[in-house]
Amino acid sequence: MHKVKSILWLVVFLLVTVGMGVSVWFSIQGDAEADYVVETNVPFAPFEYYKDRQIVGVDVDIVDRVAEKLNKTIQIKNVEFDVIIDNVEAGKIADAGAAGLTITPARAEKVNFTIPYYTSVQYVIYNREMPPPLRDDHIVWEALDGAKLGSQIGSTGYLFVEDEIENGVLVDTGTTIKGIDSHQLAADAINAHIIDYAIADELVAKFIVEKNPDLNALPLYYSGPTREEDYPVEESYAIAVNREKTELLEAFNEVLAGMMTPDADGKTEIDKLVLKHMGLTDE
Amino acid sequence: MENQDTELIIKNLRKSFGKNKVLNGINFKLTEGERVVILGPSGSGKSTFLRCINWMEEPTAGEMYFDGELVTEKNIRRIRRNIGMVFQHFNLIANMTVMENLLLAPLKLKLMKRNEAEKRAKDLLRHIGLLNKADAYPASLSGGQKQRVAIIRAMMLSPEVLLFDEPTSALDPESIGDVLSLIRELAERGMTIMIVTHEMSFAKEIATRIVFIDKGRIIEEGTPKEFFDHPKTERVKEFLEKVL
Amino acid sequence: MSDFFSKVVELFSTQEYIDALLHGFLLTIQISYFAILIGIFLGTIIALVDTAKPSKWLVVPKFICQIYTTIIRGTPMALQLFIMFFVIFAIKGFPSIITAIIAFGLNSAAYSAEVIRGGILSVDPGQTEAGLALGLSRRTIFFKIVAPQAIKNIIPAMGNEIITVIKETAIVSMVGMYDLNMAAKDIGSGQNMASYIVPMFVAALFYLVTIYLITFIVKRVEKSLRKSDLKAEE
Repeated sequence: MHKVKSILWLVVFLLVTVGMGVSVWFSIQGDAEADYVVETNVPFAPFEYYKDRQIVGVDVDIVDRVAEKLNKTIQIKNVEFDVIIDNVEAGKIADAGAAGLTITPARAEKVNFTIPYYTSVQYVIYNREMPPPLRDDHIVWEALDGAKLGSQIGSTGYLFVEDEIENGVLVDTGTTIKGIDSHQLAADAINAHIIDYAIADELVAKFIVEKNPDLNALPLYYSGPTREEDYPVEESYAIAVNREKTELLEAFNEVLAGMMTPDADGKTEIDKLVLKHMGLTDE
Repeated sequence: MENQDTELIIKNLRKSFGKNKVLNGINFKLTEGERVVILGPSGSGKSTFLRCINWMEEPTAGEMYFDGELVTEKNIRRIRRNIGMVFQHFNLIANMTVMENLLLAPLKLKLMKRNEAEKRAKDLLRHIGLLNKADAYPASLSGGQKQRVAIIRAMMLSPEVLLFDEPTSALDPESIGDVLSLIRELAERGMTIMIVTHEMSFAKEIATRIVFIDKGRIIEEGTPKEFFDHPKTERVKEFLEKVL
Repeated sequence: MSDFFSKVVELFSTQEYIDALLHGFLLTIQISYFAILIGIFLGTIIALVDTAKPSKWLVVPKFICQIYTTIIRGTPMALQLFIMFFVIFAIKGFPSIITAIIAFGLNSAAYSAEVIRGGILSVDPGQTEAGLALGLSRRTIFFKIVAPQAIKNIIPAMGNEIITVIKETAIVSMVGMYDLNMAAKDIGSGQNMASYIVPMFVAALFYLVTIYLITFIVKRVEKSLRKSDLKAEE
């Protein structure tokens, strides 16, 4: 009796193990080797986000065009934002990085960048009932003096703020920046009074505001000598490519150049894709 | 080389644990039918001596012959079948019933057929009045019951020699009597026995020879009468004054 | 508060979100299951080497096992995962799930080894001596006497280790894997639900229920093993 029971358990164990093994085997099938691997960091809508667990977005559309042009397979892989540049530089597991990457001198030393394909302005997200001092239609850095700020960790907004706190106008003002897991969590953090304001890319900020009626967002500016001379905190996105993959770099540049040519209405294909992935068009 | 009824010869047995020398050259002979009681103050090495005989502790130096055969690492497992051991803390196998404890060695070592072994186990259990505990686990037995089962477990293989390492030290006074009378009965049937014990009156009664060990050496040996009534050395006199 | 609950309801009533969570949950279970199997297998070997009678053949293996457990137990799991992903298995096209299973399996092995070692050492040495005195082989003594008793001590602690592994696999989202934690992040990314906390809360419920189930099973197994000890007492 005891033996029968043991054998029964053994059979159950083997069945479960085989079942799990088969399920793993199936999930591996998607990992078939591609000609190129492009790393990204989800979620960073509308450039990359999950839809039915597939990574989609503007960056993915660009990559698809390049794959088509080269007639090669390109795999998109989601990784931690901070490792993308290093992985592309090493070239062992990634050939390129498409993650709304801003061109910075430090990054440009390690990888080649394509032409910038999108320019975004940094926005300050705040609760309508507790706005920071506004300058009409924008907010200057000085208005954030002493505030508790939050931003998606490793995002350009986060880096901008860190830079101002360390070397810019916010030095020794008591201003703090909290690295938060995602932009949406930053929005939640405002309502939970964990932070005063969140810093995010224009499109993301607008999207969050649309979904959270308590919140509002205005562009962030550097203050000029006069109010009229204030200028926006901008960033340009480009795709990072491994130094040795010139074929890939050229293909990206050609595809991007084509996608950035305005049509009759003055809109580029990139603009249209941004709107599409924001869910702001009917497509 | 040796005469037929000599069971065990030990020459210059030494045992150290690291730097601590516990046995410092013991010479000893055991003849069939003898009942040797080993006495000595605590820490004298008497338990270690007993445990060296079936290599529970592997000797550091010296030679041992069992039935005329030199004991080595290679043959010790076979030789152990002929040397039963009863421990102070019984050491019944906790995850086995009384019956399983008794059948373990005879069946695993393929020395008996199952029905034969079961019959012998039942006879022995009946003899000690514990047949009703055959399917009980050791945890549900009293100390005295456990020790009596341990003794018949050692008897299952019909060993030539039985070693008892302080068999009553962990027992309450009431069960000591039961265990001692079982050992006494084995003695009467001519079993060759070696016992380490603190029960002086029992030693006096049962022993054919007393061996006194101190600081890892045999200081004195002799019949109980000689040993208790006419000790030869000061060390033994001193010891007897304390314990009697 | 009512907003919170209405969002929980929204999550549970949206097929897409439930699909996402279930897919994430499957990955969490896949990684945990095989990591635990590897952990128990390797952990047993390490524990056996560690508790074996010292001999000249085992000097080097014993040393290796010690170094191994020291390194694994002395460094953060996240770091081990990163090293696996970006150094050791930095091979294009190598399946992430295999890397993750190996990373967690190797980690769990060190902890399981401690659990198993403790279980073996907790068995009274007198039990082994009884076996030796009866002339049994070390093998028989281990399988018939030591192992069955050790398992009783190992099972509860091993249950804890299993629970730890399941929860710890949540860090695979750091390397972009779509596990339960990532599913929650995805749903709460702003592109889907306008809340980060709600999907996290629901994912936590998944973890909680899984771990409760495992605790329940471990308790049952533990109880049935203990019963065999004392059943004559009834």
